[in-house]
Amino acid sequence: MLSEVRFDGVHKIFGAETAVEDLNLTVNAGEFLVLVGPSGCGKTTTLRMLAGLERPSYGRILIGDKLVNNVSPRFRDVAMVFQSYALYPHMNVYDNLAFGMRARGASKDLVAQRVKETADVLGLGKLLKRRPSELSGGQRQRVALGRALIRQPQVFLMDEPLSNLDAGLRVQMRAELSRLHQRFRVTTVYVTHDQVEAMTMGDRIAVMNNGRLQQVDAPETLYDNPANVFVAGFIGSPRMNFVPGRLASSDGRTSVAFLGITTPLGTGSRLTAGASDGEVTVGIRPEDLMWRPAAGPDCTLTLSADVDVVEPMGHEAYVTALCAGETVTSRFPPRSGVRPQERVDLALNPARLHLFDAQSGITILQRPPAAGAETLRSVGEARTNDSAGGRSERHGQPEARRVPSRTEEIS
Amino acid sequence: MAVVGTLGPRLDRERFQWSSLLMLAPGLVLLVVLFLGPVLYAFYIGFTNLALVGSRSRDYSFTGLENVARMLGDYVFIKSSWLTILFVVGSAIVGQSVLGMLLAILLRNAVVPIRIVVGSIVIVAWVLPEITVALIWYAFSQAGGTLSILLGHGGTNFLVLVPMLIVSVANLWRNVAFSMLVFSAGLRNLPSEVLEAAEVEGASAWRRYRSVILPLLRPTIVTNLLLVTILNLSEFTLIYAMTQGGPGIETTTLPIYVYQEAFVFHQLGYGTAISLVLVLIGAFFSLLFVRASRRQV
Ligand SMILES: Nc1ncnc2c1ncn2[C@@H]1O[C@H](COP(=O)(O)OP(=O)(O)OP(=O)(O)O)[C@@H](O)[C@H]1O
Ligand SMILES: [Mg+2]
Repeated sequence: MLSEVRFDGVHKIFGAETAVEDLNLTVNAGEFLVLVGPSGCGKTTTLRMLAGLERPSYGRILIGDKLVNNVSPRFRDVAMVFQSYALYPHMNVYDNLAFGMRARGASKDLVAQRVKETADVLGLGKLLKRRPSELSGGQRQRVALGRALIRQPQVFLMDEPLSNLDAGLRVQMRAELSRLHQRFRVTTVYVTHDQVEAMTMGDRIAVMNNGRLQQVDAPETLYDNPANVFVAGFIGSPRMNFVPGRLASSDGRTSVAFLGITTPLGTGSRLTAGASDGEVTVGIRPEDLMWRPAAGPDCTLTLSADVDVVEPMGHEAYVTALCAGETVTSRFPPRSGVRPQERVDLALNPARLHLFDAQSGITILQRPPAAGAETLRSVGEARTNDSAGGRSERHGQPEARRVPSRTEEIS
Repeated sequence: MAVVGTLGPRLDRERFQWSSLLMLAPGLVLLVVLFLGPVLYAFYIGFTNLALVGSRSRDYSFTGLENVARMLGDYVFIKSSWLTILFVVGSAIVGQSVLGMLLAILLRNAVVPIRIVVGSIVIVAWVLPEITVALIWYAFSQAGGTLSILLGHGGTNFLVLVPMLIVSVANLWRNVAFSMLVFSAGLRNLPSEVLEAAEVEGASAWRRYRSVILPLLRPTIVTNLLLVTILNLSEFTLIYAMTQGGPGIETTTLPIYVYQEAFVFHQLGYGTAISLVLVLIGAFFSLLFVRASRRQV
């Protein structure tokens, strides 16, 4: 049952449009890989190639040890949740769920039993007699999900399977999918636009942009050590602040100047070999740019800024401010009392800075791996952006993420 | 729920406004004068002894069920009715529709050059004037014609040996393009991801056609059957040009019999009565198809 999936130099070209470019990616056996990226970056195309619905223009695709470039979708033994659902409009929910099993010659009793189990898990029990046209968008999406889950394929391909569910149901289904993956460990490629799903469900996250794979890493690694400006800006909400800076070294010590201040680089961090003095892009996550009164002792840098917009989120507030001519976003505690036009002091821990090459956007700073509780807290807070996810993820322990008891607690 | 009944009349029901009759009146008058009137008049004529020439052409009278009684005793009429049903079921419903569907499916899966070449040939047959088609098949099936030589019976005239078969095949050959085009359009409009989903779920081609494609094509199939039945039920030119209803009455379908009764033997009343039977047969098939389309759609 455990099958590895491998893309080996895969390209997909539609006419003049390159949808996927030189994709090299291995999804480990039993892994839950989340695929994220902006609209039109080639996520669906990647899944379709893996399902056999689209032929790669170049390169090889392997499932298990088997080259599948020329294997028809029928014989690939993958189950796919289509972004558009693609339900059979002339069949009721029961027959939609049963179709795949029947096609594979399962016995009537087994089909009935599995349909019942799956429908119960997805809350479709009362809808079995309805046609897709008589269902709401979210109900249809659950049928689409059920049609895949009812099978035990070698690989699950899910194209935004929860995008149309309400917040509560999404949390519940997310937990359910995690639990199923716990149990059966079927290799899964999961496309989503939702940061919370990406951070909480994936063993690893693959970020794509413009048909190119940008980075594949565990969620925390991706968050703490983004490979380039694109990944840094794409993962995390609100978005990372990018401001121009200048790198200068003298007597073996390197310092960076930005937003009108200059600071030596943190002790744990190392510059990569390609880094040189001159223009750089400095990245600061909003949660690292704190309100001075709320900041800890390791936030040694202080910047003063003029508040522009205050967006209260309930458990915190996003403050957009103008600092040395740059617009920056910072996360404030909920009832700071700060108002627009006010001048405030922001605090920053120099160890939390990200540095990128000004031209190529590639990171030039190797930060120490997982900087203890501080990192985990910020990851946990990133998850809380989703209104529904906030309830249970706040007490995020690093190991708890993939332990079943945790997911049960959510539902 | 309990609220129904306490809230007054439902607002989401369709309501009839009498003033709309005024707006519809001009169209209604035209419909009655140009359509309903002639139809009812033809219906009336069918129960008279009106003739095209002679004394009955002026002082004809209502004869009640006399024409019906005459039909029931009319050997030619009975045979003609069976021939018509045979022609419609064999050539149109089974032949044209099944072959049209097969062609549409084959062409859908064919490479582009084949699709273009075969598609064009089939459509050319349809574009040809009926008289030309009649001539081609007349020549094709004569003694010494291509068909007899192909079958190794140089001296056999197949139009005399199996006239109904030859006429049906000629008709099928000409009209198959119509069904093929209808089905091709239907196949093209199927939601492609639904078919892909079936494929990913492991359904064989046979199962995909049986459980997904054909059910989704059901409305197209019914429309095709309706049109094809109605078009073929009144087919006259091709048959008449090839055989004039002969040999004997072997290819005298109802339209040809109507023509003969009304315009050759001048029995306009009786001819009209027979054409009413044609309408009945058409209505029967239409009802059948419409009912079939209603079921579990
Ligand atoms: N059949 C096709 N023909 C031509 N271009 C295509 C085709 N399918 C996809 N593309 C193009 O390939 C690119 C990638 O499309 P894809 O559907 O993979 O995006 P995506 O990442 O799934 O986006 P979204 O998040 O909006 O679903 C897009 O620019 C799209 O226009
Ligand atoms: Mg997509």
